[in-house]
Amino acid sequence: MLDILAKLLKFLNSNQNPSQLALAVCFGLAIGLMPGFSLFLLMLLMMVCLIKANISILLVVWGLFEAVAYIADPVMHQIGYSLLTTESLQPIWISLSQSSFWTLTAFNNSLVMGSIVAIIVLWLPVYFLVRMLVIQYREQIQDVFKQLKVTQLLKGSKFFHVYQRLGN
Amino acid sequence: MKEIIRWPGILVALILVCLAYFFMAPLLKLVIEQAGSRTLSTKVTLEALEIAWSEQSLTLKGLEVADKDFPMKNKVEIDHISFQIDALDALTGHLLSDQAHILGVQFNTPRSESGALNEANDSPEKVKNTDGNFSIPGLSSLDLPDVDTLISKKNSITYQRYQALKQYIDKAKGTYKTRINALKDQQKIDDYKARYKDIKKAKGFMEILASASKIKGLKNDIDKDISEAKQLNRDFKQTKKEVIRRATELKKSPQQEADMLLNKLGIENGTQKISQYLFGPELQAHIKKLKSWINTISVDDKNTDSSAEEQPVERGKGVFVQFTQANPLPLVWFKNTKLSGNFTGLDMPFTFKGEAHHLTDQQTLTKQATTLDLNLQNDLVKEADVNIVVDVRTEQRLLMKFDIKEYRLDQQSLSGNFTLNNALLDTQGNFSSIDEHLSGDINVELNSVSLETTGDIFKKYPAIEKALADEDQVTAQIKLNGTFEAPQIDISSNLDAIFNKVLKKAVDEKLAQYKNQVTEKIETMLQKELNSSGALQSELLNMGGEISSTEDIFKDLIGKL
Repeated sequence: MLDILAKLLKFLNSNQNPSQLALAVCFGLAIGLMPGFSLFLLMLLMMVCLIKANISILLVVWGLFEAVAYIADPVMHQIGYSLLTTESLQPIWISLSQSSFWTLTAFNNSLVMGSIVAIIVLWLPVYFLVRMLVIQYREQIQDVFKQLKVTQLLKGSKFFHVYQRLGN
Repeated sequence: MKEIIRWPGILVALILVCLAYFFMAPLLKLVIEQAGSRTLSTKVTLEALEIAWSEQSLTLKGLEVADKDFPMKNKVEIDHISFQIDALDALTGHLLSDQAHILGVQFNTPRSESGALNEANDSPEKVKNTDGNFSIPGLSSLDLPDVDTLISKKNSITYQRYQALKQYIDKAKGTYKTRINALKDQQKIDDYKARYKDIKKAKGFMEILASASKIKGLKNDIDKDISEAKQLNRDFKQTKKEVIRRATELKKSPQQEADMLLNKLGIENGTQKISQYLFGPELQAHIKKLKSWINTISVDDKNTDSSAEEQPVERGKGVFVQFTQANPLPLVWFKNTKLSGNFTGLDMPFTFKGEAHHLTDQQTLTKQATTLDLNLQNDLVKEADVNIVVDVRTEQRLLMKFDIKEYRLDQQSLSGNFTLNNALLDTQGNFSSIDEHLSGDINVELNSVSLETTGDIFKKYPAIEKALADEDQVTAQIKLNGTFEAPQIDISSNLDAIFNKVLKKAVDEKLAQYKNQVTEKIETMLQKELNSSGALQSELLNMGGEISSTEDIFKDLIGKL
């Protein structure tokens, strides 16, 4: 646990591009929210492999959003079901359902559709928010933290040794 | 770009693609097993699945479809299915192909493990063996019932006729007595005589003139009595006629009653359709088998239709909303298929080879009927062709034509006490079933027949045994009608005529003897009644003299006037 927390702080304090960190959070969010039986999940995992996103942060956020997905399940089902049964959208869904590829994505599942909506809605705000927070942290909070007495105390603790070890 | 793309990730992605390639077969296997199980509501398992990417073909090996009702049995087992396929269709659970090979089809094979999705406790209905209770009405009636048990006074028609005659005579006697008494009323006659004397006494012109009208009045009254006496005579003659008719009928009654009783026992007509009793139950058993076979190959279309509202929402699963598709696909559709397998699991000792067209689980989607042209083979048959059309689009319709040549039958136990030792069977026919209703015409020709009887019932009639043993050829025309539950089977066979001729000869003598016994028994039982009927008649007929004398009394009176 200490390792993971230390890693997170390490990445925050490192020179890694804030966009990469924000992208990792977004992918973690998407993979965490997406139910496991959809082709979308496979596509997301492939994209994670190809795009430079921080894997450690992604794994942490993924785990976090798995829990969120479980809690938000009824809401996402409701959203997805409403969209799939909306009369005006039927031509789109019907045309998609003619294709085997789209059938494999399980887009007609209420939970998958709800997750897609949640991901689309959250992706950009989360990306920009995380990116901004990382930048802000590095510019303003990082130095303040270093000056704090608590930080001084922590430097002498076991946690700091772990942190240092990661740095080496 | 350099900042965004993770170049080593491409390698990882390639590894993932390779893994997908290698895991495609197990994945497809899983999809087919799950889709099949869901559609058929029973366990569907595959031993192996092979994908030939270059040919875009799929081979399924060891497909087993468990029987819902018998979890330790497979309804169908297929050794090998190969067909060209669209991989994307397959991943969505649709097995569609223009050309397919389905080899090693077997029915009702045992399973190593239970195939129950939900354990069903319903035990199947056991087939009742009716052989133990089997009897041929014509033959069983040859063991004629005891005369004493056959006849009872209470149910005897002769006795009922006697009772009716007695009642008729008693009633007539009463009526005639009343009418005679009314006519022969002494007071009335004395009154007539007194009036006559009074008329006779008349003297002088005025009295004589008055008596003339009195004479007229008296004459009218006596005329009325004469007409009544005449009517009485006519009625009595009628009654006498009816009594004589009834008495004659009563005399003949014991013999008539004996005839009726024997008819009721079915001696006259009971053996006309012996072939019905010989082959009927066998045919009914085959019809039952056919029904279960139809059930085996039929898939309920309704199983695959499910609406989102009906499914319970499970956490983490969601619900699949089904959309109306322009060209919805069935789960399975093999347009042209080479088939092979065996029917031993359906109690038909044949292997088969042939072709099937439009094999599918949902004909409503393919809009085509399924046809099967099969050549049945075993060591005992020279040639056997079966053509089957299954059409369940609007109603459960099955059409079957068959042509079997020189099928050797050995030691076939027929219903009752018959065994077909050997014969060569030629049969052609057509059969159709629409929902539960069935109809069909079958021609059967058995050559080189050796038919023998068993059991005690025939020992008494060696002529029957001999006639059957001598018969070399049996022909039969079978007409089917009715429903699967209650099939009507009408069999006309040359065996009927042979059997009836021999049987009639065998029973004629015995029957005449028995008829005499029955007649005698009725006569003895009703001796008292039959004798007393004569006395009853005499009592009534004796009234004739009295009735005819009544008219004379009034004629005398009118003469004097």
